[in-house]
Amino acid sequence: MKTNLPQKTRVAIVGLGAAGGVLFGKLSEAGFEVVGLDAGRFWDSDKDFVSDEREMEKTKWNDPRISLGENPLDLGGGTSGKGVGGGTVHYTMMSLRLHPSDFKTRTIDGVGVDWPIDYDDLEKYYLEVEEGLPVSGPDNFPWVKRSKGYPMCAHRQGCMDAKFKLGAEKLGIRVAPCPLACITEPLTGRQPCINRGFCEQGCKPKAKSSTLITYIPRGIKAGGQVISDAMVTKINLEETGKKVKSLVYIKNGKAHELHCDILILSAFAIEIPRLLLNNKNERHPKGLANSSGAVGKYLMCHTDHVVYAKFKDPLYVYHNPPVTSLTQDFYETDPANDFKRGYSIAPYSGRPISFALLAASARKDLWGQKLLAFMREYNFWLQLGMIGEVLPYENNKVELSDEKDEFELPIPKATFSADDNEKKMVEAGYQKMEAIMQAAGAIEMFRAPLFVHLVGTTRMGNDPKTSAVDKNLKTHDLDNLYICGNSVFPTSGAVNPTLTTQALAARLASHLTEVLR
Amino acid sequence: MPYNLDKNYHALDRVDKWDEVTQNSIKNRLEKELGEISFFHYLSKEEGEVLKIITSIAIPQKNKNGYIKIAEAIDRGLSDEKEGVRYGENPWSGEFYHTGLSAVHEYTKKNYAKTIADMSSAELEEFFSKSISDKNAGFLHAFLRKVLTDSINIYFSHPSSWDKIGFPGPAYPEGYAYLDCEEKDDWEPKYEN
Repeated sequence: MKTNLPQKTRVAIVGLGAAGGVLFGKLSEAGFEVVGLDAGRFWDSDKDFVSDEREMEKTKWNDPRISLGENPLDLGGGTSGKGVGGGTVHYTMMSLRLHPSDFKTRTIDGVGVDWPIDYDDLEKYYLEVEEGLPVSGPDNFPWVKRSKGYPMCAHRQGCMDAKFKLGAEKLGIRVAPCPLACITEPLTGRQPCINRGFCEQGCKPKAKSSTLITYIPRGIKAGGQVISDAMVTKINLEETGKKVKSLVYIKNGKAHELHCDILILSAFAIEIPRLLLNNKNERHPKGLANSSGAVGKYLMCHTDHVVYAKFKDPLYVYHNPPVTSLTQDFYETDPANDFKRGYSIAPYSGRPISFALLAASARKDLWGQKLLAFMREYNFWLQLGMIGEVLPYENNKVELSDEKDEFELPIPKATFSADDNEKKMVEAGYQKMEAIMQAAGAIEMFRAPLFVHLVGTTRMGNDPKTSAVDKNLKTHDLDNLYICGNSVFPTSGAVNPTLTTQALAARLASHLTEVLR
Repeated sequence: MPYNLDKNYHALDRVDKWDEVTQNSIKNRLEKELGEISFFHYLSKEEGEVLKIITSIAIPQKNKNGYIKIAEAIDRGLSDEKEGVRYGENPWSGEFYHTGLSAVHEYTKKNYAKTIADMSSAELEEFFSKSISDKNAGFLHAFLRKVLTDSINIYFSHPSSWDKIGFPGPAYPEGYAYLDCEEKDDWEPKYEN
């Protein structure tokens, strides 16, 4: 692997997570000179990963961020990663496609905004990344049409899946194994899943298809260069003000400049708007790529509200990946509901710390002896969660605060408040989850509110007045600046966003391959 | 609950089955965080003593043998750096603890006319219960919530806490062969019905 710090490259990618990793692998393999930069470390699965919740917090973003609003979000921790591989090092591996209706919510349901692309535009790229990772999934996934089956068979189902299925099927609700970026058959250099359970703490056997062990090594093999521990602080433009000339990054306390023909920002929904908003100049007085004023706005997430359900016999949820089955029977808008759009439901297996933290945050009485008594029954509880769509609102946003971080950059602040549609959806989701758990034999239940994932803030659209990037993910304002990742989603859908982010990255890499040749 | 967890199960009995990196991480934690000798790096001795009282309400520990030094472990993670997520207008990490401990002092002086060290067990329970459940308690509420969160993070990262809840801890390189509700791998904690 190259170790010198280059001064020039054809393509520079900022952020090597879900999207940046795929772009790095594909563009390097296409024969372009590619440099990928990441603010964090280059993880070594064998030496750095530990089967331990507390120590593996080190893989999460911990730089300062300010969270505001009626429902202030977790802006680091579970939502963004730091280090090569980004959030794919600690995500739940749920690899779900958006539904065709997600791309047309304004047309179909009169809410949100339509995407400038549709499901058919993305289908072949979904397939491509499902094979590139690869993803394991069921023979029959009844909610989304696919042109081809999953490349590997679905993950084994555990005790929690059996309980969920029992309750759901009593109510006529369909259940399927969850497609996962986790291998169930051996691949060169990788062990199939051994059910050790610490999937959100890095994966030591390399069963998890994080970009750290899939697309990024492929890119390096093809000649791509990774610069880790490199915090990008500035983007310089050419004199015309229409093109990016170079970027500046800090590594080991020293500033370095890297010239590039193409710059792709794939640094997630907070760092991208921060970088753009902080790079103001006379020609771009509201920040780069922000003539629309849309940069930072329409921050979304998902409801991940949970029902804790206790059973009379132990479930031992500590083995298995975090999620291995789900239903999407409530995904689409139902005219009988008092809200638009919908949600997915899935049982979740939490390790002790995350299990205790969410329960204690939801209940006033879980501290002291009562908390310890509750935790003694850890093996008897199941967490059932809903991934619900959150609509885009202009007032939910990322801005720059007046405070500075260690790089002298303004600390970002994010404001989020759920609105009426989300509140009604959450209540419906809670009731549905309680009904399923009751049908499965739960003897005690309580609710725990939670919001997860970060989406939006540089949305794509055909109109340069209302969006930051076009359908090819090029910024409307600059000729060689592209953005890829969750931040370009115009709406959130009701599934974990990673697979769609990776399909968008595969699509952008194919587009750039054509453009650059 | 008709089930009794095997009291003789100790996750640490299998430490040599864990991969070396995990072994070293957990052993290092045990070395630093178990025992009675108290030392605070960031907080003052007085602040540290107050934090010890609060963490012992959040997570009570009966035995001095194998005592997990929660307050001291929290202290080791504090600094004057701005880091992590700051909710609302509250101060950043280290300053958050200074301000919180001072708010506790003011509250107990005002409401109990004594310092926290002089309060009875019943008074401590009452103080904690009121402040942690009342969102209108403002900063004090946010502070006690943070202490509870940090205490959970530390306490449940120790093998002795896993033994009490039936969690076997690290499972690499072995993994689990059985995932269904009935059969279990022979080294997992078992319940007697």
